[in-house]
Amino acid sequence: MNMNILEISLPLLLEGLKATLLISAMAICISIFVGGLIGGLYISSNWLLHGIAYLYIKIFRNTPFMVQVYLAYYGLPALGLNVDAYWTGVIVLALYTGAYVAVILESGLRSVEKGQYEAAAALNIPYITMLRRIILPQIMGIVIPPLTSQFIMTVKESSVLSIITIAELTMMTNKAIGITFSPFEVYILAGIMYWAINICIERIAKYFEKKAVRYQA
Amino acid sequence: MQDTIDLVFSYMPDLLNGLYYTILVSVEAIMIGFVVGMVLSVLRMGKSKIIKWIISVYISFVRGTPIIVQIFLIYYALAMIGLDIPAFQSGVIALSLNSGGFIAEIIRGGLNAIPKGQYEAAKALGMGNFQTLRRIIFPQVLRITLPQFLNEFIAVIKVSPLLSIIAVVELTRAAQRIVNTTYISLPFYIAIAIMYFILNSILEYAAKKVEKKTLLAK
Repeated sequence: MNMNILEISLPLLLEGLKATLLISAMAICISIFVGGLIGGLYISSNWLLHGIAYLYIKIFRNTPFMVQVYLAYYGLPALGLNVDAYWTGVIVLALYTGAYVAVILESGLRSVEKGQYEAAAALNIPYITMLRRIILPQIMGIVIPPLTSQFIMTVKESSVLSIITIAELTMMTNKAIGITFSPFEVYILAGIMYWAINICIERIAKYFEKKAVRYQA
Repeated sequence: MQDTIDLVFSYMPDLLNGLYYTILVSVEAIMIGFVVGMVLSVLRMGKSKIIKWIISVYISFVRGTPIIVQIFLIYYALAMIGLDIPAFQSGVIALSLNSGGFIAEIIRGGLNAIPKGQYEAAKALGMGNFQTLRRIIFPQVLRITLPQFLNEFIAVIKVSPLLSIIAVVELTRAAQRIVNTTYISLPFYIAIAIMYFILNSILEYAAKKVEKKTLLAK
């Protein structure tokens, strides 16, 4: 590869990499809350709450992420909400990931026997304490592997946000190509960066998974 | 409101044409992807360490990088080696190389479900390696993994809008074109969202049905 290409594109790509990491990290953190909320509603016995969660999951899982991004980007201003592109992107990515996280958490919550919830209630253990001390340690080993692949997905989907002019890695790649005119090399570089992020996520998750499975029966 | 709905319906032929291309691109991609996945899985069963390593790197790359990057890479790589092929074909190649990686992993899961004794029994009966795979192993693997193939098909449909960035006129690009001429965006994006939703819901339902059947057959 021509050294010139590297010299010009690397600073731009690193800037984009930083933005991608930040956007993905924020989206992942928010999505855990969203997923917990929707997953909790989904297992609720109230049909209305269950219905809302069901609809939410269906809509976000059965439409392409790119279309969701466009809808939010053009739809929010139409509703009178002037959110800038950056936050629109983060929010849509978080809501989208949240739908998948909800399904994963829901299947985890279901894997714990009903008797344990009832026993905890009988012992007068507060709900939050029950989740923290009894339920979550058991389901961690089950939910961490699918959550990992979901979060890797989130990092990958964040590339779609380049279409609404968010200066993340893919957008900066295109910018670098505009200067260097060597699309192939620069895209390879960007690909390696995404790849590196995702391998890191995988490794970190493996570490937590090892710690988590010791609670499993 | 009524005006907007009329407007969307007046452009329906364009949208339906886009939908047709979305389905076409996805079907072609999943079919070629299936072949790619099959070849990768068979090669991976061989003894050569180098081939195994190359394949695992390929699968890791395909699964670890965004599909946008892969689409652009293929698009520019084909141009770089002097092949002048239309965006549509380039998009199909990118999507099928991508889903090939995922399908190889699906097939691996299916292969793990087959007891080792079956390979040994086939060998004892004097069947060759290829014959064993073709007549004993893969028919079972395909039946076990059929629901996952349908899910992969849904996944391909969901990434196909990204082909709009290399100007393949599928559903999303068709909507963008209309938006560019009418300067009205939201109704058309809602319309295509509904179309994608219906398409994927039907496939999801089919996958669930098939999954139930394969569970019963076990």
